[in-house]
Amino acid sequence: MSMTVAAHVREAAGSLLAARQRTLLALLGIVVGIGSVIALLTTGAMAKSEAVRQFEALGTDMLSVFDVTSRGGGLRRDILDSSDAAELAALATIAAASPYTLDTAELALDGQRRLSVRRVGVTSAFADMHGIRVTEGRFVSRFDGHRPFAVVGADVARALRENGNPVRAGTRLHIEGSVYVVVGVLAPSSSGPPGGRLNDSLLIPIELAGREQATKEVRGITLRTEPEVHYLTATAEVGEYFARTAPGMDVRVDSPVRVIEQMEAQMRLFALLLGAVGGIALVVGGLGVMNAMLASVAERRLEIGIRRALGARRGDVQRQFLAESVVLCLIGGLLGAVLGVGASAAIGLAVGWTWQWSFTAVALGVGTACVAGVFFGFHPARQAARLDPIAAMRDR
Amino acid sequence: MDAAAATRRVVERLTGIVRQAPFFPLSPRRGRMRAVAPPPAGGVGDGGPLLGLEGIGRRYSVGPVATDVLRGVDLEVHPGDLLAIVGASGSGKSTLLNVMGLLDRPTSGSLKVAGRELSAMSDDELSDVRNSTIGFVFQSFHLLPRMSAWQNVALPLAYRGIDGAQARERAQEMLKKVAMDGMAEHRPDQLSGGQQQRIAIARALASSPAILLADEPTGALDPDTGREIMRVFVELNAADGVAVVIITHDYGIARQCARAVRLVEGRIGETRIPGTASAPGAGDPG
Repeated sequence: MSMTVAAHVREAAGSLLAARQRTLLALLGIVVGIGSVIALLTTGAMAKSEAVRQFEALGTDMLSVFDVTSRGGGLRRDILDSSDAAELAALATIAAASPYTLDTAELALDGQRRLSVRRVGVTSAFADMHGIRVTEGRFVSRFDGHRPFAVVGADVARALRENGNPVRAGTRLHIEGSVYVVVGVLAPSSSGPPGGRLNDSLLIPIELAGREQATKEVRGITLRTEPEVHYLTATAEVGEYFARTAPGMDVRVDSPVRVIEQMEAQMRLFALLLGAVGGIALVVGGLGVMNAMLASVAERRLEIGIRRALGARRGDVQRQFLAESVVLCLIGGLLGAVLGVGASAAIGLAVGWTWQWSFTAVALGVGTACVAGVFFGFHPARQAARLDPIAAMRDR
Repeated sequence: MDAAAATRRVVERLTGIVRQAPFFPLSPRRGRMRAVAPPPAGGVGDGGPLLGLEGIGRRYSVGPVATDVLRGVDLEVHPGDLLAIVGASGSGKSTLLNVMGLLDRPTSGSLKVAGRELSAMSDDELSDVRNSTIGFVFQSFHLLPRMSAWQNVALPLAYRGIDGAQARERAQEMLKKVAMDGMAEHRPDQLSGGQQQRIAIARALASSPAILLADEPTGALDPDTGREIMRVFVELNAADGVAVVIITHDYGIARQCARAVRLVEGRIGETRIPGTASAPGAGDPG
C-alpha cells in the first residue's frame, strides 16, 4: 500500500540534512516563534506564582480597609480611627480588627547619626493578625496606653547592635526629642500590613502614635474574616457599616483573594495577547517553512518523477513531503522549547524568582509546531503529488 | 458465474476497501498485496501478452495545433521477450515508452497490462502496476544522488511497505545479479557510468517485474561499457525469463535482441531490420 511511517521520517531527515542551509533558515522562524511564546508564557506563570506567594503570606482571610476619600479642600467630618476598628470587629463576618498608623521617624544611633525608621502604631491584636513573634521581651499590650513603649524590628535592632547599642528590654531609644523604652524585639518577618515592612519598623502603642501625630486618624485597618466567610460577603458588610456610619467617606476594601483573582484575569488576557503574538510569529515561521518546502519540491522534480516511475503513488509523494515539513517544524518546536525554557530560566535568575518550567507551555509550543508543519506543508506536498511524472523527468 | 469473474469481483471489493485505508496504514505490506490485482484469466498464466497495444494513438494538443505522435501502434510483449524498438529521434520512441510504462495515457486505442485494460485503472492502480510489473532503466540512470547504491535499489520496495533488514537483503541479492554487490555502500557520484547503470538495473529488478523497460540504456555510455550493459540485459532475459524491451536508435543494439521492430512516424514500420532474427511486425509473437 505505501511506505511505513518510519521510512517516511527517515527519508525526511535525510533530505533535510542534504539541504542544511535552507533547513536552518526555515527553522529559524519557527524556533524564534515557538521559543518566544514558551519564554513569555513561562515567565508570566513565574511572575504570577511569585505574586500569589507574596499575597498568600499575608493570609487569604484578610481584608485591608483604607480611607481613599479625595483630599481636595473642605473640612472632613469623618475619619477612619480606632473606634471603627472596634465596631468592625463586632460585625458578624469579622473575627478581628487591627488598626494601624504609619509614619517615618528619625532614630538616633549615637551622637550624630540617625536611622530613618517606619513608626507603626499598633494594638495588641496586630501580632496575632500578622502572625509575628518577639525574640525578646513582649509585644505591645492593650494596657500600654500612651506610655512611650516600643517594640523594635529585627533590622533596626541589628543596626543598633552594630553601632554598639545592643537592644534589650529596657533600652532607651531617642527619637525626635522623645525617649522610648524598648519592651520587645521582633523576630525577622516578611508579613505586615501593606506598606509596612516590619523589619525596619518601630512598633508603638496606637494611642501613643495618635498623640505623636496629633490625630486619631489611622492609616488603615486590617480585618480577619470569620472562617468560611467569603471575602465578598465580608466586604459587603464592611461597606454597609461605613455607608451607615460615615456616608461622606470613600472606603476601599482590599482582599488578597481579590488581588489574586484580578491577577489571574490579567494573566488570562496576557496569555491571550501572547497567543496572538505567538500566532503571528508562527505564521511568519510557517511561511518560511512553506517557502523552503516549495523550493525543495521545485528542486526535486526529477526525484519525484523517478519515484513515481518506481511505483510511488501520489499519496506516497504527498506524505513524503508532509513528513519532511512536520519533521522540520518539530525540530524547530523542540529547539524553540529549549530556547524558551532557557530564556525564562535566565529571566528568573536575573529577577530572583523561583524558576519553574511549564509543561503546558512546552507541550503547547511543540504541538503547535507540528500543526504548523502539516498546515504549511500541505500545499507544497500537494504540488509535489500532482506533478506529472513525465514532465517531472523531462524538465531537467 | 465462473471462478475468474468471482475472483475479479472479490479483488475489486478488496481494492476499494484498501483505497479507503487510513492515512498511515498499520500493516502496509498486506494492504499493498491486496491492492495489486492478480492477473485474471487470459493473463500471464495462459501465455497471453504482458503488454498488449492495439491501435494506440497519442495526440498532443497545443492550442489549436494537434500533433499525433503515435498513430495506431499495435504491439505485444510476451513473457520472456527480448525486444528492441528502433527509431530515429522524433519517431515517437519516448512517448511509446511512456505509454508502455504506464506513465502516460494514450489518447486512443487499447492497452492491456496482463489482460487488464489500462483505461479502467485509477492513478493509484497504475502506480501499483508500475511498482509490481514494470522495471524502468533510463538513459541517464536516474539514481537518487544522496542515497547509497543499496538504498537506491531498495527504493521500489519501500512503496510496497518492505523496509529494514528485509529490504536490505533483497537489495543485496539484486546487486549480486548485476555483479555490484561489493559496492552497496557507494553513492552514485562515486561510481562510473556503467556501474551506475548496473545499480539502476538492480533497482528495476528489485520488485521482480515481468518487464524491464529500458530507454536508450547505453546512450550515455562508451561503446565497451554499452556492450557490457547489453550483456547484462541478455543474461537476465535468458536466466530469469524477464521480458526486456529496449528502446534505441542504434541498430547495433537491436541486433543483439531476439526481436526488433521499427517505429516510423508513430507507427510500427514494416521494414526489416538488417541482421535481426525476425521480421518486424505488429503483434508478432516473437
